[in-house]
Amino acid sequence: MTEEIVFRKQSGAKEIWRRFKKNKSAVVGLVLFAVMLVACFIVPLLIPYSRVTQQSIRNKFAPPSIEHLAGTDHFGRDEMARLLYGGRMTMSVGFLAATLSLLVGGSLGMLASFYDKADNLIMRCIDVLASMPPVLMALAIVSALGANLRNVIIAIAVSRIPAFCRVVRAAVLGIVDQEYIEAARAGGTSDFRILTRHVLPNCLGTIIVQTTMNISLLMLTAASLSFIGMGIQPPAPEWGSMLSEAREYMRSAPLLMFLPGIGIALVTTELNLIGDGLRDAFDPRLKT
Amino acid sequence: MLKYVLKRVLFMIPILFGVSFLVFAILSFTPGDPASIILGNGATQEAIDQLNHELGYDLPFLQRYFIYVKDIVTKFDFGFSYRTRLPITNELMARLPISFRLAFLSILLACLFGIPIGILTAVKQYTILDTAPTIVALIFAALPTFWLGMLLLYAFSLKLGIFPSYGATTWVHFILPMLGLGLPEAATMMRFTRSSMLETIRQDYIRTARSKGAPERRVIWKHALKNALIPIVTIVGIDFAALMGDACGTEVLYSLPGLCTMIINGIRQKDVPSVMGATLLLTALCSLVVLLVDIIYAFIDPRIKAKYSGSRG
Repeated sequence: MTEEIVFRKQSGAKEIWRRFKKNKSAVVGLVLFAVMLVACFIVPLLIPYSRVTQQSIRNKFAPPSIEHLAGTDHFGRDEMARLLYGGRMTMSVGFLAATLSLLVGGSLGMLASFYDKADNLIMRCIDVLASMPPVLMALAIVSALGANLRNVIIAIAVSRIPAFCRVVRAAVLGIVDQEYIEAARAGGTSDFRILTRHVLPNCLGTIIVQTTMNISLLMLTAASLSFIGMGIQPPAPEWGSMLSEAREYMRSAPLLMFLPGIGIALVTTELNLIGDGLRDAFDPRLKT
Repeated sequence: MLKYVLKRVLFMIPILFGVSFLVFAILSFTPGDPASIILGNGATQEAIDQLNHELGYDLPFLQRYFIYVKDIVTKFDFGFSYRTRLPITNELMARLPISFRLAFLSILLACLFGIPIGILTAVKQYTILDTAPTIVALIFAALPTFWLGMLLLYAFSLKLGIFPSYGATTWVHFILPMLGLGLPEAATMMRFTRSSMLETIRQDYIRTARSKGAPERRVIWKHALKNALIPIVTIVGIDFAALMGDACGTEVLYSLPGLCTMIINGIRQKDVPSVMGATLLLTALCSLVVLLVDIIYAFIDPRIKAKYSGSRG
């Protein structure tokens, strides 16, 4: 009896991984994403931060060379170091904001679906939040709190709370009516335990897939905020603000404009591929 | 049906109150007051207090909010810009067509490309006609709109000199912004159409249609497409509303004087009435579009129509 249960538990994650592995494009996405993670989170540990900020006006707009692999920008700063550190910034903002948004939005969604009384109140507040375009919402919050790293994360996280809340609510609503939840209730299990032990594991797939998809959206929002000058402030490198700076020098140094954009496009594509792969792996019936 | 429409329209009122209060509160928490920003660093405290008094900024927060809402509801008056002292209503009316035109053209482009190609890829699944567009769409869906805008600007106005790089005086000025905002949207739309179509093709009634000997052309166009299009209508509406707000980067890039640039400038200059006016107008429009789509949805989907036909008043 015990053996059978252990066997099943193992096969859950294994089975998903087995299905994920069969999806070629998802695996390509995962591998590329891993490469970019290493490039943007591990390689910067080997490059001193001074390379990112050190200016040398005489050496501005230098073409790629051994010393400056991607050339230099309008202040003569090393573009490669800025790209790697910038990627770390953009991705960290995306990850952290997604986590925050998931924690707040997801908890609200769970409460709303589990307690009928809270449902109306929470969902009407979410309706108000959702009726504002996300970028505008983030803009307003950043303007109130001031543009710095922490506030940008908070702002874009808040702008995605409605999306997370609705997704989790819908997922949980599909589960709370199931008989095994009723059985758990009849057995006197506490609400907290039902939520964490019975409901959460069963909607984990939906949550993981949605979070993966949302990280790329959050990164795009963070980059647009920086692009319009309301996000991460220079001289700190971030892909969106690097693009904003490169815009001025589009004529003389187009490379500065291509590289950060390619970075953003690559990461979001990879995350979308992984997200698609995970969705199909978690629920093969949805496979398209 | 009428009851449903009425209920949905009435529900917009608390939403707009909620949004207006939220934005008003957020902007009031922003450090600094409008007078010190208008008058600059050299101004005396008295002059600042005097100007803040004239602007009505010295009143308590709730009183200011109440006056603001009262003016909009009774006179459709969005107040005066702190910066230019001109009525906000006029500026909104001048900027609205630009934002609307940009969003409308982009969504039109997205529909014209996204939906037919989405159908094609679903019908020709696992052939080159499926994989090639799917890969292209995957890339386009991931591009930041402002970056695609920069690339288009670089290619078509800097290098080739075909299109102007800024301004909004003629239709030609809207071509590049439309492509920049519309192509990623077209990719999203294609992906959505494809999965909606594939899901429909797998339904039992399609198998029934095929097995009773209906020609494939008829099965696709008559049975599958009609059902697959229903969720697409919703996405078109929601995305149209979202595009108006997400056009920030594009408007900044092409110096389009739309509602988003009004909000961004307003935030920089702490011009609360500008930001409030533009945000409220955009939110109201978004809610209105979503509402319209929901109503259309109820009309074209007989299942939903049947649900509400009992309460037809």
